[in-house]
Amino acid sequence: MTKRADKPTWDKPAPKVRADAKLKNLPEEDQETLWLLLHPTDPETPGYTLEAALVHIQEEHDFSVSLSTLSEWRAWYQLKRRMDAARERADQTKLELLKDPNLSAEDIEKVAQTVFTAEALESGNVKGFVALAKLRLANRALDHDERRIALLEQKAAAHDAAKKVSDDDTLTAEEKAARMKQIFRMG
Amino acid sequence: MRTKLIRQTILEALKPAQGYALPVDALRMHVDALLRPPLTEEEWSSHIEWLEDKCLIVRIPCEFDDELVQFAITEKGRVALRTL
Repeated sequence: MTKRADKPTWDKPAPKVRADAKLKNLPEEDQETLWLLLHPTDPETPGYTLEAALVHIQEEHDFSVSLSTLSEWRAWYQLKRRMDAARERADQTKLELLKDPNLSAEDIEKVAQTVFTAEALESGNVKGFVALAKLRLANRALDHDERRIALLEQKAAAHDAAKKVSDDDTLTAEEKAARMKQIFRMG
Repeated sequence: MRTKLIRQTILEALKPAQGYALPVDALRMHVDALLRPPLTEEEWSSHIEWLEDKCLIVRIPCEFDDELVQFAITEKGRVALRTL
């Protein structure tokens, strides 16, 4: 069998199951439980140590992992939780903006991405970023309108000039055609 | 050599964003949290460049900051991650 040319190649063949895959492949609710045991939401409740969490995994899921694997899963799950929250906020924003008929699908995507970026950066100023993004979009729309008006003015001036040439009885047909080409920049 | 692990970790860090682009600082922070020892600048630049060249990740411009670099995982990147 020939190898596909565009398939990315890595240094070594990957193992079938990675060491941390057992934890990452647990059902979402089990991973959330494990997270909450390590990071309880109630400040009065002490969190599990990593060692205690290893015992919980062995007892509840009937397999064992190393301390470093658990530690890696915790870092990965923290990232996943933050991304999930950022994505939810961005998707929610999308739904809200869909109600605004003045915004295009592209604009909505851009604002949603801005929300995601701000959340991912944990800036705490999502509203500010979104306002800035909307302002930029509005400015772009304004620039677009100004360019359109300038073009329309240019076109109107060209038509006025063309009418004068057309009405000028002192010009021959060839001269009129040459002037018209000049006005409409055809030659 | 931990080439595969680094590339895999970058893709994995981008995967939960599901199409949204992650600012490069946040991406780097997450990748560093997942790898021991953290990446050197040379490792970071070369692997990001490789992933971009192979179209496994894509650079997305930021609406409010022209200098803010952001990356998103591509469909090809998601497939590459699944088949590892």
